[in-house]
Amino acid sequence: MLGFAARRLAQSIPVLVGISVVTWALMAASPDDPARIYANQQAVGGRAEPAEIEQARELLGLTGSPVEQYVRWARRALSGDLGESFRTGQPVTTEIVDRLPATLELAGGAVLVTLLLGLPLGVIAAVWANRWPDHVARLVALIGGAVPAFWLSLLLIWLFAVEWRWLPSNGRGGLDHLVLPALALGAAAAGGYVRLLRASLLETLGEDYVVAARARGLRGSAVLVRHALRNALIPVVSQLGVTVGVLLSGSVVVEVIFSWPGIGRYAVDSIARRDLPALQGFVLFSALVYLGASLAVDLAYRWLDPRVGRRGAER
Amino acid sequence: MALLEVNDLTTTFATDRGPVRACDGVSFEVERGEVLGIVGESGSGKTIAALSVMGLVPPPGVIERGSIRFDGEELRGAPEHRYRDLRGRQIGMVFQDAGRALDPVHTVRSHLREASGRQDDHGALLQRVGLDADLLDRYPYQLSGGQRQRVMIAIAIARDPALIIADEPTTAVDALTQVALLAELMRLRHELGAALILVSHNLGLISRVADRVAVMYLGQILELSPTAELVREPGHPYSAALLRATVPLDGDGTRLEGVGGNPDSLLDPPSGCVFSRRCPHADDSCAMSRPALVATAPGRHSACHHLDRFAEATRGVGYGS
Amino acid sequence: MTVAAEAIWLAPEPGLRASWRRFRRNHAALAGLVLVSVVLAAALFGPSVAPSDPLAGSLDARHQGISGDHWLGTDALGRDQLARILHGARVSVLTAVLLMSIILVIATVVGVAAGYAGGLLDATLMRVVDVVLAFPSFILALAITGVLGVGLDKVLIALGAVWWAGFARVIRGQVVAVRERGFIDAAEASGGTQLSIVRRHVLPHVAGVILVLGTLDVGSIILALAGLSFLGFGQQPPDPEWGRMLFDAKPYLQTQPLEMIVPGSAIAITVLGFNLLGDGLRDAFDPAGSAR
Repeated sequence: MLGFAARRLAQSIPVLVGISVVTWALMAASPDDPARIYANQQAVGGRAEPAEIEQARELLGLTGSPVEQYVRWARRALSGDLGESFRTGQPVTTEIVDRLPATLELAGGAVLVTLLLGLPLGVIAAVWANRWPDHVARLVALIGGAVPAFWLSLLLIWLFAVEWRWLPSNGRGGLDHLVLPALALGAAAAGGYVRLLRASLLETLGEDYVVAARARGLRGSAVLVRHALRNALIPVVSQLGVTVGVLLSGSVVVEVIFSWPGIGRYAVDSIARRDLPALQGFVLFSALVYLGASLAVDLAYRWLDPRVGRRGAER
Repeated sequence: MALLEVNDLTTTFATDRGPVRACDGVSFEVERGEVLGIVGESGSGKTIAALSVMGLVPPPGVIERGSIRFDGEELRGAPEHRYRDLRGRQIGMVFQDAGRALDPVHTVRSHLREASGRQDDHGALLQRVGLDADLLDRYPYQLSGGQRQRVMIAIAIARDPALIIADEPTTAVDALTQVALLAELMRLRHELGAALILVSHNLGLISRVADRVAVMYLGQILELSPTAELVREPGHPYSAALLRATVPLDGDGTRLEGVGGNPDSLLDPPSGCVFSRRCPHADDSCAMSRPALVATAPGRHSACHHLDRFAEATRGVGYGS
Repeated sequence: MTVAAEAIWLAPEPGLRASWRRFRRNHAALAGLVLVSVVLAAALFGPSVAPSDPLAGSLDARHQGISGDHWLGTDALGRDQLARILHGARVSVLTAVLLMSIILVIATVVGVAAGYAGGLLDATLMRVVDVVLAFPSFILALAITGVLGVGLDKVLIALGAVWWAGFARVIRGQVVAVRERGFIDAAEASGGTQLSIVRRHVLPHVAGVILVLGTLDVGSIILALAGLSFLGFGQQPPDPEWGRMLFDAKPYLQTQPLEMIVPGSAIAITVLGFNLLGDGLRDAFDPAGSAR
């Protein structure tokens, strides 16, 4: 398992290099001169002198050939230095790392919501396929997939925070603060899992090993859980990595609406202020979390499916 | 009273293109300790007949008509929990492709634990089917085809059933392993004193071990006879054709022929006799009405309008006489 | 094939006519077709029949509910919501569909080039695809918008720059599959030019996949576009756009929920329609794989 993790990490190196190039290019290939943006923001009166702009260029490492610039940037990035925020002058890495737990908490809550909604509905849809529970589950999934997270956020705030005053709609705190944003973010992704698990379970329910399990006198529930569901979950798990990406994407608007102090809201503020290093940090960390999630999913996949990658034991 | 009595079993599947009768008025009995062979080409309904007995007809199939009595008890319409008590305990089933019928994410031990209901002694069960106990912690994909099929047999006999249903138990393995597996199955059946329904497309294989043979085509039994007599003197044109197409396991195979014509489809069954389109003896009356399965001699049954004419033409076609 | 499947196996009927028959019998797909037709008609013809000017507000008519004058009420500036929805559909739906078409063209060019040519070109293009797909799509689009600056045109460029990659990968896979079936080798042996081989033997095989994928994903483009506008980076005021309308309605959530229910419903219904239609097309073209 450890060997596999190491191999899988090594395979990610080309993609990591690609991620770093894209991240670097966000500043280096910006159509508006980043040095001018920075210098103007620093200058009294918002208008920098040419000398100040050149000074900023030096400071931001935007001199020399693109290759030199990239190597310089990448070397610093490897040591954890992503430059300073244009707005605050603080190291971007610190600012992101301070806000990352909030985003991870929100995304984690959303994954939980997705699975708690999606998996039971998926099982219900498959077990009662083409009967009314299936129709209801699929309708819920369809609507869930069509409602944008930012609208669902507003609806939830309106109902649960404004009308009924059950839950807070602002900021991060205890579990009660997490409920609404996690629900808004996670519900949309649940629809996909209903469909995926339904399809996957319908397939495994028709497999010979399920018929064979029934033929040896196993109870229906044991057949469903131990054999049909256990196998049907394998493709579901492989989808989780993609879902983390979807949830990271959706968390941007949800964080803005719920004033959630995570990296998504930080990114939106950075864009408004043209804070390019902060934006770079956001993109880089999002990609790293995404990559980490797909690595974790690959490991889980191997653990769930004994066949994967252990062909060597075959004789 | 026979151990299993199947009467007028009719199992239908609703498909996009209309209902398909996979079993159409199938009747047979299995005595205690008897070996009944069911032979037919793919699509003949032999597997669905076996699954119907187990109460495991896959959706959208339903048993439309008929009766299935096991040990005197009517099973058709029996509640699921009653079936559950029978499956594995009274009736064990061996599936045709153990590579598919064993759950890929569970070890051999886990399968045997479920099958036997015991927490230990699984090694002894493996040894009974001629496998090493150290295979217990293997996953199915880590076994050879023959080993997987033996595990399947171990599962079927784990609770000493009175009836074993084996659906093409040796089709997924090579010829040499086939012979060994069949011998193993027969030995175990003998030890247990269990009855066996052996389902296969291979009449040669069935004729070696079965006491009686039921010949199925398009969901119907066309002949049901003691094996020795069927092989010596087939009682139906289709049996004769199957016999001619069979490699005798101990013969030289020089007489091998095909059945002739393409197999009909359940979607578009011929009117009248289901074999009429391919039958060399068929005339207009065969397409008009369906012949009933009737007794033609003590213990022998056949469904053919022109048995007399056919009997003249094929006397001596069988082998083993 | 499982025991059960083998016993009653029936191959799905091939061919376009059979696909259409499967589609026609699928109520959900037909509902999707109706929804999409209605929404597209509203976007195309709605603005010319709209009851009033979407930009003209009146301070006397602020925050009105449903009435004979304003069927869907008015917003904070007293502008008619129905007129704004109809005009906004041009951006939120028509532009999204247009963008999806452009994305599909780019993805097809890349996918066919990579799958057909193979070798170094294939390897290079697919590494680029890998890198683009290494980012959560909306986040990369957001970042590109952040660099380019706000505005509808910038947002469209950003979405296009990100969204092609996934399609290109799938199309390439299809082309490679076609290639492996030997059609192309046979056509090359009989001396067709590369372009004609692509047109006659490759594109027909991938056209169905492209259509299905594109329809299935129009919904996510609409959501992404509305999301970026909601954040304030897309269509700039005062021009109407559904995501922006939601953003404008947010401060009045407590007292005027209608103002956010209207544009939100418009987005949800449109996305629902495209999703139903896409599902229906997929089931019609590929009944065996429709379980997935």
